[in-house]
Amino acid sequence: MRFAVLTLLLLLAPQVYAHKPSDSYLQLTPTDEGFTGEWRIALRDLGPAIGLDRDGDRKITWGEVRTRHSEIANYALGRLAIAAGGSPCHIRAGAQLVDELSDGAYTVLPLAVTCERNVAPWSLDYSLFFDMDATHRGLISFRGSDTPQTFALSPDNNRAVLSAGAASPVQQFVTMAREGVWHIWIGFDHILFLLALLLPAGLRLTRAPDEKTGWTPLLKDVLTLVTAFTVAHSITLSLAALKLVSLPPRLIETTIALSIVVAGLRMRYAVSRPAAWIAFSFGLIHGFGFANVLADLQLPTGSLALSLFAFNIGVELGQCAIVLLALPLIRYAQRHTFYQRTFMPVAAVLIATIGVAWSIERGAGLYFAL
Amino acid sequence: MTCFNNSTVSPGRHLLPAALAFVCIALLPRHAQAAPYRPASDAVVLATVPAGTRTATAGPRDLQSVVARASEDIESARASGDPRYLGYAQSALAPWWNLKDAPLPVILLRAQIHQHNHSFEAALADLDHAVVLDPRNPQARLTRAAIHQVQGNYAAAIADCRSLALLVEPLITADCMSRVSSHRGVARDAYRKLLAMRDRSDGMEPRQHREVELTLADISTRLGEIDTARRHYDQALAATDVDAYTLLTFADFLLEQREYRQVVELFERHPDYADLLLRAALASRATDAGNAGQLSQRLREQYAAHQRRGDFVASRDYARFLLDIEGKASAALDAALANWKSQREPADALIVVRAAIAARQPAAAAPVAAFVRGRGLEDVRLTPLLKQIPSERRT
Repeated sequence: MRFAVLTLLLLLAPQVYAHKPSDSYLQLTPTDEGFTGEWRIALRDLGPAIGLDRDGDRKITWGEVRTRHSEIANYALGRLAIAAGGSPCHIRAGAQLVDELSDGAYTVLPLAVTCERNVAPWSLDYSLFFDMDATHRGLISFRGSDTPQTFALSPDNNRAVLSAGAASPVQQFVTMAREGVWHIWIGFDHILFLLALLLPAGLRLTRAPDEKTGWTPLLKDVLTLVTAFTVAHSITLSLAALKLVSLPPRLIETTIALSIVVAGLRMRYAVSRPAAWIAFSFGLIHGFGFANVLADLQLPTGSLALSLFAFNIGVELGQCAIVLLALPLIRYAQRHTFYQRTFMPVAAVLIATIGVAWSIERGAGLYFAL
Repeated sequence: MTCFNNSTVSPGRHLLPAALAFVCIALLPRHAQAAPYRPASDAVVLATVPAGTRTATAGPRDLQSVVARASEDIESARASGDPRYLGYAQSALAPWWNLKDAPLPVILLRAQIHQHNHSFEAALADLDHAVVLDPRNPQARLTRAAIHQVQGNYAAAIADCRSLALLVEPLITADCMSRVSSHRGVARDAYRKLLAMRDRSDGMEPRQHREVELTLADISTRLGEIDTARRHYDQALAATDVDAYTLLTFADFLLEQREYRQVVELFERHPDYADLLLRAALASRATDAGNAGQLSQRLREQYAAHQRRGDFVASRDYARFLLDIEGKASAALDAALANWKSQREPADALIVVRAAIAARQPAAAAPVAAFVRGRGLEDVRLTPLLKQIPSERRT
């Protein structure tokens, strides 16, 4: 008899199951007293669990389900607990219907959940079918006013906690905006590019700085410059974050370094030319650079647009802060001949050199990579 | 995408929007419309379930009865293709499931559950442990040989097959040896040896007979001997009651021979075998059948539902779904390559190569081509396609 047992094991290859393992689907929508919900439970699972197939023909009819609705409800509700603010809520089941999902028929159990104190945190403990089938999962979705939260509950992780502040859109917004500010402040290449354009702002090739010139030319230059840069990088940041356009990161980083060289050379040789076109065209590339950081942050897909917007706002705020810090200093320094005669050429050479060094460093990586 | 817009419609022009709305509703996938309903009568059959009741408290909990129950569940999983049975088996073994030093029978069953779930590393760890505990355990050797073979470690698989020689009846050893060596450039020889052994054996246990016929069918298919393969499939199907694995390999064989009507018939006869859904969807697409869209949609929803569980693993079937039904070649290539990391059967190689060619990234299949050439794998389905794959550059 030993051989007969062994033949069980002689499979040709482990099978690839297209068949989905067992799941139940519980949707909860908040109300004033607690939740309303629908719980879909597969008849294929209920069958063996409570012996739905009374006549033993291995077929479950609507009659077999209908006559045992209260038993089904008791069985299921005995394996689900919902609590609000630490105290248990009361769950009532309504009249059951049937739904055909892609893998078979499910009973649909309407739920009304009432909580005495309907306050955060809400918790849900789930244990349906876990004693019978270790691979069963309870797929829970809370459908609040904002993006739905989902949980896949398993025997090892059978509790879902929904706390009000867990991922509120406001908090998410603040987090992303902070990331944006942080990125422009630690991104020396962006700051250097911006400074190289800002330093000569308001200067015309007048031999001597005019004491009487007011803030007007300076502010006008800065405003067009910052606007051009902002519009440009917002465009490409959005395009890249929404995965509509993508460029190799090395190409982006090298071009950003080259933009610093160009900005530096302009300080030295073409101060009189308006900087807006440089700010705009290279701003496009800087936008791709921001998008790379955004990609590393692993955005929640549900709120991509919001996160993108928040990150961009953060970048603008960070940029404004830099401009506001730099402006009075520039304005003050421009009164002295030293600024235009000595400081500017030195700064120009310095910035361009740094740009060249970065270009080589980043570009070299590009060539090795190829 | 929206079907309806809010623009105001002048009185004489309401026919067009109405027609558009009608088309929109008609085009909605069947399941998107589905909503909870009340069946028309008590006699409506809603589901098919296994016989009997199972609850955690049902049945004795001693090692012997638990092992018997879990083995039965694993056999049911294999026959039906329903992974719920693996969950049942795992639950039955719960008291020992996380114990590294579980009793030997538990370790062997746990390894098989891991194997079915494609957790090959965990399965091999258990089997290595089992072989240490009992070097002459044929079950441990057989399961390990099957895993090594699926992973393309043919030398290790052959070693395990060889060690069976004195432990089990000769036909089992021959099946194991031929199955593995047919992947190493001696397919014809392997076929001949197994066929001779089969003809000499009488009174074969039916499931054993089925396995041997499937091995012979598989080797013949790879050698391009279609009529011979067909004969072996017929014998495999006749040997026992239907089982999921035989049905799905046979359906794949029929698809490759463009016998689409037979694939659809197979699915209609056995609608409960979920693995046939993909094959039926492919066949109905190939013949432009009216239900092609509906079958594809059901498949799409099943994969989407599976992905929501959080434990979805890209399989070669999923890669085929992406490539041949969704037309997403580069996503299919990603899935096929992910699957290739753990599974290296000829069918796994085939889907990588097909997806790489379709995605116009033939170089992505270079490691697969190197594997096929290096092992001397013979397969008439692969050989012509491999000409389009550049050889791997040394790095």
